[in-house]
Amino acid sequence: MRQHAGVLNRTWLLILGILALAGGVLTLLAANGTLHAMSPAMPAAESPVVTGDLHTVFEPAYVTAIVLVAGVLIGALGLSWILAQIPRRNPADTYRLHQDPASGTTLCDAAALASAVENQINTLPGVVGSSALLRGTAMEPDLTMKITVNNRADIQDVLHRINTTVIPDLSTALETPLRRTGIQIEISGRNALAGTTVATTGTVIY
Amino acid sequence: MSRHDGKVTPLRHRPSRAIPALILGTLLLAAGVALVWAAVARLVTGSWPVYLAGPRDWLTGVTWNDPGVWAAGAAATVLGFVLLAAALVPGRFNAVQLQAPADGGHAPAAGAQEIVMTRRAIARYAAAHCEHVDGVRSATATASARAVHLNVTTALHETGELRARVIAVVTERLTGTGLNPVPKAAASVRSRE
Repeated sequence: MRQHAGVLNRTWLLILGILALAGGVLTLLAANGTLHAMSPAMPAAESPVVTGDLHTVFEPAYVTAIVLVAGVLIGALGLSWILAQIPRRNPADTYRLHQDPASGTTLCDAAALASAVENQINTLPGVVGSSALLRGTAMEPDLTMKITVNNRADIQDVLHRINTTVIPDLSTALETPLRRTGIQIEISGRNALAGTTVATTGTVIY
Repeated sequence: MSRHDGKVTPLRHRPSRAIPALILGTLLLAAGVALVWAAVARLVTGSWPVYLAGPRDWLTGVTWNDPGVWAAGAAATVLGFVLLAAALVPGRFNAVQLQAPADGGHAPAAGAQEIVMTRRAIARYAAAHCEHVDGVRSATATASARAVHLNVTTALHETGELRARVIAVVTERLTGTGLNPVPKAAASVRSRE
């Protein structure tokens, strides 16, 4: 249900990995003299890493400004990458159901529709709990559901009921077919909210 | 940084690499704070902080074939390989797809549909149905996208027949859920008095 920063993480890990690998390989090539052998313009293995005077390089005032800006940029990048790791629901805000605002507006809170979907799912046999989330727009709604069912429930029956009652009901309410539906099934040992099979115990006396 | 922001992402996905991302994000943040700290210290006191003197003196005196430079190059190369592995090794899917019910199950009121069952749910489901088999005292299960492994304890001395029954029951139940592909069931049965 919640969305993670998978693509973002892979992209940045790839970029930083290539930079670190390139830097490391170039340093090793310079250290064993291969770089100098390939091109005389490159530093020899015995030459110093820093040829100039670092005191002079860091003396001008504009270097301080460059360091400050670089620090802010790197820090902001790191902080935003950390914050991007928080899983997000990213729900739709409000569906605008009207055609022409001049003749009146009809707004529907997507959370209210999701709540109605949850209530309907919770009445199905074998369902322990549910969570529904609407994304997209009123014309192209996307419904994502996490449904927790009892470990003895008939999962295919639950799916059949959702596909034949819950989704069509939401589609009727929105007056448009859903663009996409996602159902995530979880299993629990807790009793279902409706249609529970009750475990009984007893003693057989001969 | 851009996120999905209202777009739908698949429920069945590979690991998001949050741990290496958090480590690198923290290191970047720390580096940024150190640079800002140094720049502000220079603006306030007129000189760079003392903690920069050590690296500066080391860099001024070091040559390319110094052992320290070799170590830094090797460390950066290893780090690069680790980061590339973290980015490129795909990892296991978190869930297995379920087939929608065949008899009119696909909702006409919906377009594309994705139904998944998480690996944890598959393990719980398999363990629960395993415990319904006569002779099983307790059962736990672990699941991957293609296999379910059951650890069963029993009071029976002869475990071979029970193992076959457990695998048959769990396979039948997993098939009944509509999992596609159906994970292959395997069981380890331990006899316990």
